[in-house]
Amino acid sequence: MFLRRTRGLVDFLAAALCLWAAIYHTPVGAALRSVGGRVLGVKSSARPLLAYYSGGVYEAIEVKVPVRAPPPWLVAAELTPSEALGYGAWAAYGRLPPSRRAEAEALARRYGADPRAFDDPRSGPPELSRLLTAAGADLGSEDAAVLALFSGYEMSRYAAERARAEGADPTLEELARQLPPGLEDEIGGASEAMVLGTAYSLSWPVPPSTPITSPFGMRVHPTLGTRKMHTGVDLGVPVGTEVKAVAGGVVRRASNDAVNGKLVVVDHGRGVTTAYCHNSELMVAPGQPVVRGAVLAHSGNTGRSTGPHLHYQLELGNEPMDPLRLRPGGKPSGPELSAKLASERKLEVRGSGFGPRARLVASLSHCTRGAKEVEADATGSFVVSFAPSRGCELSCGRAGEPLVVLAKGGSQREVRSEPVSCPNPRGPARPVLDGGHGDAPPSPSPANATEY
Amino acid sequence: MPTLIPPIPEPSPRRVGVISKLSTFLGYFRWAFMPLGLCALVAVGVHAASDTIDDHILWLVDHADALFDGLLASWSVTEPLVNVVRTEQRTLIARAVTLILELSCDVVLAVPALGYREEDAPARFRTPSFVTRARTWRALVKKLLEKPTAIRIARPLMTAAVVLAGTCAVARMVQGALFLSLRAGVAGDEVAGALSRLLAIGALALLLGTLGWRAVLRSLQHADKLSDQLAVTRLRAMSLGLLGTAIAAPVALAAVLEASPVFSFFR
Repeated sequence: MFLRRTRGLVDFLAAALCLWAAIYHTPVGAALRSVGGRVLGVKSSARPLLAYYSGGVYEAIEVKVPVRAPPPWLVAAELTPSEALGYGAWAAYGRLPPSRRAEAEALARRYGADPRAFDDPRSGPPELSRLLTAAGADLGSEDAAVLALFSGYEMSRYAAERARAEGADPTLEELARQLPPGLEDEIGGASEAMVLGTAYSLSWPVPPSTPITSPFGMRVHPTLGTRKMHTGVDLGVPVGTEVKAVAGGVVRRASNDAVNGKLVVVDHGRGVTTAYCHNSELMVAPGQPVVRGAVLAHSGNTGRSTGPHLHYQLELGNEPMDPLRLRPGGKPSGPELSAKLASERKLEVRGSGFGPRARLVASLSHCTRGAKEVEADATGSFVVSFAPSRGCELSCGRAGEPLVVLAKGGSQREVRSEPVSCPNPRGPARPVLDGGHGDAPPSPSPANATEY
Repeated sequence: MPTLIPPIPEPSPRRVGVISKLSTFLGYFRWAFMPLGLCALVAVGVHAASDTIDDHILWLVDHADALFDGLLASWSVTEPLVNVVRTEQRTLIARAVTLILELSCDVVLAVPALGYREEDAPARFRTPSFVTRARTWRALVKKLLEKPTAIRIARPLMTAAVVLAGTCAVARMVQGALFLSLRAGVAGDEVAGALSRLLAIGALALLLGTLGWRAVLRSLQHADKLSDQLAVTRLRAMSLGLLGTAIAAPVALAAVLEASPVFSFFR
């Protein structure tokens, strides 16, 4: 009898619940909210329509990567996944306004961390790394720990418990599915930290000393002759070089065509994918899981290619990104230095950060004549003489260790100018990535901290 | 067609309280909110299911693109078209395909729910074919068994699947929103967790008991009406609505297998 008397109210409540869910939980609802927001002149929290699918948690964000290259003394340094996540969290946290930092500060207090360190470029990343490790052990996943940093411990714990109750892994996508509307900013911050954290942990697909023959960015296409965006970096490796996975993941594509040649695309999760083109032989199949360092292919000269090389492409949130910007090794070559090489016949190279008695070596490859290898003097300096030609490359480093490519040159003019700095790849300090805030420590070779 | 049954009698004025008054008042608007609620429930279920198959669609798009690139690379004329679709565009295409699939499913399964009417609705909204009582169920099931058509069989089953997924999605949202609200100074985390879970289970029961079965019945009615009008031959009976069924079937399957975590609310 009670149910009959309250039928109108009960049915109304049920219908209202469904309408509320539809408005906040479906793309059609998002479109309606957007239109409503525009009509009423208020800001709508509706995301783009295509972001209303679970993978969209990494697409809905605009990944803001550091705009400056890391200092050159970080060359060849590699971060562990945990350290890299600390850097990712540090970069994403730095963009939070003070009003939205309360949850992170509460999480820090919970685990005995110092939230004042979070903004510091030197102590912030390791502190955040330690905090996320502790919270991850407690919450059951790294993703939940990162979410807790932005949305608070209890919300993250709730989402993780719900995900586990559904039998799903507590990944950020699953956690986001469990959260009610209104937490888009928190999920956005967490996904940015995850994307950057994953990207910072990537290794290099070929030996680190491999020269970069064509950088990321606009260029005149070598075969088409038109200006086109080069969405990756070309690494000059001979045919047959092992191409290794830069991180664990699943092979999303392994195919062959006339442009990319033999191509492998690996999905590393968390919105990060890498592609490896122009190989001579593929060693993996689509759908195959791969671990970090697994041989994906042997490099080659297939597809639209003018010579043996590997085209390595990194995408974050489905946007191509210069892999050197996120690599602790920084940019081994740049326009300034390349211009210098292109215009000079004698270059003085000075070691930087090696110590006074280090044996340094400069190597020139693909040059028409000139010294192939030169040893530094007692002060760590050496003068290189060579006749520049198209594709001439200068590398340097400690004798017996992988060399770092400094630049490549092109013309025949003879000019003498400032010495070029050869940075120590094993610099003592920790990596510092410019996230747009804080003061980075001075680079030992500011003149050659190259930027595109 | 099923026979109309008498409208539900209004409660006695002597026993009418505030809730009853409010309920009676809201009852006047059932003709508006019930069809909208049913449509919204199905739409939420369709989205919950679509959300779980977007990765499968991405896999399909990747393979199709690799296949086309291989084919286009075979001739010099078509070679410039290789790699026209970049990785980020493939993901975009996959999401767009998922969106189109979801909207198509909405047309097939959710939009018909807007035609829901009740026998005790005001006269101007009442149509003889829409009744929602046990007698209607029996009549429609009897017709389904006597004159089976593809649409009579498939649509109610698919609707039931997405309704289940939709109910779970709404209950999940209720639980999350309540937990978030209650812990903001109203209750401790433990209390907020327990209460929100209890209310999520309540929402699950409420939706299945009020809108869930009506959505399935409405789907059966819609399929029945279409069958009566269009399934004049045996071939037509089997082919009627096949396109819509083919579009909605993967979503319905995903709704059952991946998007209906009913038992998670009790764990």
